[in-house]
Amino acid sequence: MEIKHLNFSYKNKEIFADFNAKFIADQLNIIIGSNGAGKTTLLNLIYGFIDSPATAMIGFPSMPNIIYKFQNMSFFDELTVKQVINFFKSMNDHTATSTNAQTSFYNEIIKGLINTKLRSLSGGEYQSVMVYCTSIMERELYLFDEPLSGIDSYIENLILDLIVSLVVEKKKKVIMTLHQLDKLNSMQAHIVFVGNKKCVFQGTYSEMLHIADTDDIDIAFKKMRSGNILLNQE
Amino acid sequence: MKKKFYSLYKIFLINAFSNKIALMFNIVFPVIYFAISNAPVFINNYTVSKSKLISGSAYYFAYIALTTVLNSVILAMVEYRDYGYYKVIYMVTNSKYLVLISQFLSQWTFLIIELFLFNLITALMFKSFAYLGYLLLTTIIAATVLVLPLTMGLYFLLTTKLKLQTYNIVITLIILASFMVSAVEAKNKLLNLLLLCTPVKYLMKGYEVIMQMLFSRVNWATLANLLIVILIYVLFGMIFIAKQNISTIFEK
Repeated sequence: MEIKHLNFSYKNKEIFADFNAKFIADQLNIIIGSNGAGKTTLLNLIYGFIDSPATAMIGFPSMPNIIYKFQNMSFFDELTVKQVINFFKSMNDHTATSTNAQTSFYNEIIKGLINTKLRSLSGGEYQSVMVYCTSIMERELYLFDEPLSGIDSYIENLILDLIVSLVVEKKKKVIMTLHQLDKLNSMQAHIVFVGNKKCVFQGTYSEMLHIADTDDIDIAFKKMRSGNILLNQE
Repeated sequence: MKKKFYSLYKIFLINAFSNKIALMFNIVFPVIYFAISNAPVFINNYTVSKSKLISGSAYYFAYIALTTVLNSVILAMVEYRDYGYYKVIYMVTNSKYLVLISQFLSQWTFLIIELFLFNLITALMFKSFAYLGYLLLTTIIAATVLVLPLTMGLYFLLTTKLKLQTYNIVITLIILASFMVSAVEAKNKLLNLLLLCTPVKYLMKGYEVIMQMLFSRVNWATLANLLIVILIYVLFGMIFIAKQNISTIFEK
């Protein structure tokens, strides 16, 4: 999956100028970047919420084969968690098998909320339910926009395990955005850094530190964000 | 596909019944008005004929059907769109037609239940349970034949970029204007046809035609006009449904 020479403006504001990036099918792809850099816009373009030049988006599955957990995803508040999960499950053409991480997530987080109405959930619980529901859909590509926002550190790790299990156990393609840079260290992920309307870095965590010439991910982020390092590893 | 449809239908139905205010507006108010305006019949034990009973209920059928379509279908769809529910539904179902059909059928079920309750109260008020079957048959056929085209005709409201609060005003104006126009009769054929395009007149005339078809002689001219209006509503609906896609929903 690749984005080539993407130029994109939204409501007269230039978001991407000659943007180039590759996403790796058998690895977790993580998009990072400052607020307003265009991470969500990139996911919207990949999904097809926003029309993009066909020549720029190469090798991405078509819309029916993608599931997208967008930020502030909401659903009918009067439904219980059980009804929402059953609804998502019923939309699969075939019965899907669960990964170990999905089973753990269900037992530790979802089971206790199963008869609660969505309107009675806290922000973090709501987010957890929506991430779980997205993960149980059978699709080729999964997009998660800030799946850890509003989540406590214990559940953060469970969510990351859940998302990683889609790649490792189910061999699915996953692209997610993330603000929690401290989580990058523990994951085998392909990082795409969005800044200055371009992809300023793509590679592994250790490559990112190496290029920024530091051991601190926050310093590396700051350097790339400010444009002190402008590397597009095409 | 059947499994997907049933799941969607169930979700829309749960949501429809959770809206207690809409239920009050759609059914409780007309029942109260009906009870007050027919109190002398109820108190003095007057006998009411079958035709009078059915024609008298046409006005209430029009009100219940129109408010249900506007509040529980059109306004509900605007809310689903603005709250982001539609984005989720379209993404997991991948079919706008599955969504539209299941939502319409869930609201149709809701409407039939409302009409059943209203007919039951009507029969109770007039102490005419012998006519309950006739009332139910007429309203079920009318709700089936007339309400789907009307809903399609009103889909244009979904394509306008109004705020949710503004929709409430627009819907109230549509209801008021429709009831005001419903009493107007014109001698000019074309003007009559145009008047028939207004929701309340369309529903009342349609109800009367169905009643005539079931129990007496049909007025063919009115039936022809009604079929033309149904066709206009359906064509309108098809144009606006075709315009709906994931991008237009995302933009909202």
